[in-house]
Amino acid sequence: MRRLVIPMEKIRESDRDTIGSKAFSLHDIAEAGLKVPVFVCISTRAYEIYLESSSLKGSILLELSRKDIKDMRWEEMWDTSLRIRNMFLNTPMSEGLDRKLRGELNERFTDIPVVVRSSAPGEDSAMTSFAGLHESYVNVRGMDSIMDHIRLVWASLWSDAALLYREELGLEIEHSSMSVIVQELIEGDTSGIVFSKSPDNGEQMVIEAVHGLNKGLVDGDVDPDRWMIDRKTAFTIRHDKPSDRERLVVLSNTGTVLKKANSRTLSAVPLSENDINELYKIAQILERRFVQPQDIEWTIKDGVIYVLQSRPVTASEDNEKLWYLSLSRTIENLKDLRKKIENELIPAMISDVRILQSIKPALMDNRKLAREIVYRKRLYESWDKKYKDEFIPFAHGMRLFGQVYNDVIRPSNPYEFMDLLQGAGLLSIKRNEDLNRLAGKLRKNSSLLSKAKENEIGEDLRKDLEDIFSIFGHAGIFKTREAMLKHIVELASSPEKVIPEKKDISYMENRFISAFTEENRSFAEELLDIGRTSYRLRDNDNIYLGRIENQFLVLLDEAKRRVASRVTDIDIDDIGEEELLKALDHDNYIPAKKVRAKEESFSPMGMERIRQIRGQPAGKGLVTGIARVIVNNEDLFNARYGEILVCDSINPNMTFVVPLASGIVERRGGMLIHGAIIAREYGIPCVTGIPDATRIIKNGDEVTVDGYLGIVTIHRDSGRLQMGRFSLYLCSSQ
Amino acid sequence: MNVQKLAVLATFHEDGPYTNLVAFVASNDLKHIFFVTPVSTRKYSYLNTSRKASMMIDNRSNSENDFKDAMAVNASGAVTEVEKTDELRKLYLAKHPYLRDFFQSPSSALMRLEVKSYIVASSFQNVVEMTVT
Repeated sequence: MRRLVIPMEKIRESDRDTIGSKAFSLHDIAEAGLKVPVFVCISTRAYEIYLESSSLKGSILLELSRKDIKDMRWEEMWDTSLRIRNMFLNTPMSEGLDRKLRGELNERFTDIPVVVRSSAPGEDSAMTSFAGLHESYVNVRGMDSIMDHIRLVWASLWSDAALLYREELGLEIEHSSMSVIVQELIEGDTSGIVFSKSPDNGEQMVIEAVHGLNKGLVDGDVDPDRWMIDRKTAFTIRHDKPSDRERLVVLSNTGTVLKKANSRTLSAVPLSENDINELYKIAQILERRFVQPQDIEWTIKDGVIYVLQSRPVTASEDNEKLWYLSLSRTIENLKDLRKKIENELIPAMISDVRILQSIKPALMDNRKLAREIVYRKRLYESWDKKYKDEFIPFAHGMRLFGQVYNDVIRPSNPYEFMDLLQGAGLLSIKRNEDLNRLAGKLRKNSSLLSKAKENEIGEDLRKDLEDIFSIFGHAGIFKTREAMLKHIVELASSPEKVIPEKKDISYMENRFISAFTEENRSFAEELLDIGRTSYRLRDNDNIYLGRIENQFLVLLDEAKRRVASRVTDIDIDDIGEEELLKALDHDNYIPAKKVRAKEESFSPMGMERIRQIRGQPAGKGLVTGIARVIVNNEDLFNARYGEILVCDSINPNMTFVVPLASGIVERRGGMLIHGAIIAREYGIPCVTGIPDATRIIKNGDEVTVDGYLGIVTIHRDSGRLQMGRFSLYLCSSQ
Repeated sequence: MNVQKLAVLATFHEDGPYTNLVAFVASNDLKHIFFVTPVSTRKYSYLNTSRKASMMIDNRSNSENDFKDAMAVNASGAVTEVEKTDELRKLYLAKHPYLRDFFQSPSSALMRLEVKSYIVASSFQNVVEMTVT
């Protein structure tokens, strides 16, 4: 029988597989005569007993069966991981397991703060070394909290980062397991890392150091001092100082906190020459012992160097995975990002749009127009890059808030936290309200509506239309006032879609804030604020980006208008941008038709027809309606009241159509994507993550969207179903 | 009946029979078998048209041993949608705790097969019929 808890002094070679790589490496480091903090291992057997004695295994399997992980986007992986994490949070250990673990841990860690760390078998081994895939928690105090954090570390076996690297890890429910290290916390005065061999220069070693705890360095909140050392001679080649040493991470009552450094720390270099020499020797010892270059974490307390962990140096070459891992941000990082977005980026976007709007394309000659098109395209591309680099990472604010909310509240619904974010003042909702207000005027007056259908509107309405168009008309989709009016007429011809009144969230908000100690309440408030801003900006930044894109598209339209007379037998919209530019530059050039990529024929297995697909339940409710498949922007203007929108990926510039829809089906998956956010704002059933949605579902198909279970059913040729108490076209939500 | 998690449900409609796998639980007296289905499914639709149904619960292992060891129970009767009471929730989730969200969803229905008779087949061709009273 494998032991549940193994103290550091009793670890043997045969325990390697049950205590995980990190723990075995710590054992090895201690065997090499180096100092490590006192620790015990909760073996993988405990994880297995926990899984076997609860319903978790079945629940995880059901969750993973929703969609093949290899087909998931990163948002879906995060969602899957969030749901699994919440299962662990809400599944207590059996009484027997809880008693045994407490008994063993009580002997060593009754009154001292500890670190609870992951140690997955296979992780950090010679073949697979990935930093930060699983969780570790610093400064955990009290037995109840230690027991809670053991479950959180177990849950991190299924973290989004672990799902991303599932193939490298061989992540499977039947074989994967997790060991946990419970370790004495060393409150270091100085901490850092050593790369025994620099990933950038094989002749050098890198040492990085910060005042306080390592967390600031690892999370990227504190800039370190950096030394480049000659591996052969131990000579310091270079010392790079940080721009400042203004911040450091120290212990708080529970966890850690980033605080301002005092004046002494500001000027002090964190390592002495002797420290650097000692760290050099440690790195040499560990590289020899593990027979390959090591990435070592250490801390110094009262002059003693403790090795916290050592793993092989690896460099992932998968940029996409690295980009995804970089999205995970700390609150400090998010606060900095928010300042940059609100104070620099959005004002700059607005300013760019204003400048572009002031330039009248009609006044440009053809060559100037061509140059302006090229300029605007580059400008849009540079903003699109900033969107990826700055705005998307800020969306992590919602996720960070959600994770903390679930940790402290432990709701049965892992998305309960979204109720606290909704109604945060989305520009897309404001646009829809403005459009709806105008539609309301037409709805009340049938003669006005009839005239508007003929594109005739009086002065008052024209002014209202102009007001909305001036704000939202430049956001990619509504290229003309006529297009906007057409949509308003459709809205006016349909019953009004009212945004359901939000439930009173003050109770939820109080409950969340009160769950923190007095000392940590300001953190909770800041986090909620970041969550709300992130929710709002995730939507709004697309509107701003859409306006910049529109300024490019408007010029393309002007170019088409000018060149149209040169082509007779082809549609001007079939001429690509490059050909248009050539035509603008050369007066007699006849542009050629764009060669369209042949659309891949989609016929899943001959006569096979997909009838029912499972995705993610992203907006509660059940509805049956006729599908409106959105392939291009023009399709949005053909949508009719009550239809189910089926789209590949909806963005806030497209969501003006949502008030007409009775349900949404989206190929892109996730609970926090635009389609899901707007569906919940309107209380519309929504299912996301349906692969090939726009190809499987055809315009006019009768479709049922089950936003509770995440199921989409296509009733093609099967006759009308008898849904008993659930009548067709029923839209029950919330 | 207590060990097996899935059963084959046969429903009936104008074009012929229709079968599915369902996660079931039987009442202690074996008079009722419960299962849950989304309301947008064929089986739910067919059961709304004709309540007649049968279920097969078996323990085959998909090996030659099945000809000697496998046992199949056929339960037939009429199916009704029933309220998801606390008592039935406990009964169902005790056997299928991981189906909590599925059970509780407003878009799923709890169905009860009122068993009229059981037919038990074992050892390849031994068949016993039992009527539920």
